[in-house]
Amino acid sequence: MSRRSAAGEVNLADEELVKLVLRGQEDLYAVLIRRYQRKLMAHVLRMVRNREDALEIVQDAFLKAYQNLARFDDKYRFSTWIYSIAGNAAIDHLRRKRLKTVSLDEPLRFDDGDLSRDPEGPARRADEIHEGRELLELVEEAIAQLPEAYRELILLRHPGNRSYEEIANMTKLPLGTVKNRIFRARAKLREILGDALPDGT
Amino acid sequence: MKCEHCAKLLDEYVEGLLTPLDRASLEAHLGDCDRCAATARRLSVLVHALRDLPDEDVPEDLVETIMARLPERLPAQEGAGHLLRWGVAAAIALLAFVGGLALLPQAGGPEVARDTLAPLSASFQLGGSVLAHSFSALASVLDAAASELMAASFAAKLLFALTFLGTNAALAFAVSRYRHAWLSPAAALPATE
Repeated sequence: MSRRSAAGEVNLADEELVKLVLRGQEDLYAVLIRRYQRKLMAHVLRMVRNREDALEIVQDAFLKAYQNLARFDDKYRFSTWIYSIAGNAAIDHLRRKRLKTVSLDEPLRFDDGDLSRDPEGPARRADEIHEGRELLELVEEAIAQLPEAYRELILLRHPGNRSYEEIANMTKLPLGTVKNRIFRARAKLREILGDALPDGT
Repeated sequence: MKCEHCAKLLDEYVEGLLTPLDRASLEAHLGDCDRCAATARRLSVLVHALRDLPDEDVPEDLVETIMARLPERLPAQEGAGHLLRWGVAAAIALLAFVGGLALLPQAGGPEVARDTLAPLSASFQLGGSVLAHSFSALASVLDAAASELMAASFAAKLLFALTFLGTNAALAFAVSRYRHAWLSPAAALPATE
């Protein structure tokens, strides 16, 4: 019987795959990588906003997860774990980068509601919105303008699809803080997007 | 409901996380307040857009690149797993040994009679041989069990620890009860008087 060639491996739950890898079927780790590489890449890229850096962080995250696989606690999801590892690495990366240089193309920053708006920003282009795809592009741009602390949290909620409790666990932040920051991040996104978000009237 | 209170609940409303009671009172407010209703619709569009954000393409050989960087063996598992494997093997072998010991002399330790000692001694020889074989067999059979235990929940690990301790306690009890017969059959005889 060869599990490696069987199509059935693709249908195995993450935690089952982890067990099989730990039992010596190391090749099956590739299934886990294949399952999450694109989602994780999107998540990290939205955080660090540099493709090369994001790719390196994703690779290192899968490597680190593998090295610590025996310590993986299966009461958590593997995806939660790999997102945590990559998220922490992305934050460290941003911190190091911030120390090195204050770049001119850094996103607009705001402190507690004092947002400086780009006059040529997305809100001005409401009339260009015809399809959802364009809206998604505007949302991507708007996310890039959020402060890092907000950016990771809102991305974990959606599209990461983590519960607030899971996010609190992953980030070691109190649940109330997590909710508050995500709600505020959404309020900021609505503000940045302006009329690009239709209100249906 | 006031608009301020409504604004605090809107996010959870849009995500479907409100209690039925809160949802009903919020919807009543949205029916009366165009401004909050418009905010709710815009928030809903935003949340849907966030959910729909696409995955990112990666280089086609990313999986191979990562797999090539992985160490040959899982380092964290190997060391601990080795110890655990022998620990589990030892625990089960001891359990079997003590269990057998407790069953053999039906008359009990201090009352053990001279004529029970011969079969007992033979049993020990047989038991020792079986033990030696079962010990090495267990070590390999338990390979998988050990790695599973490494990834097991806290409760499972606790159960394992308790079993291990229990086994040792049982062994200590057996030794104290049967030590005369076990260590020196002749010395045990006076106790049978």
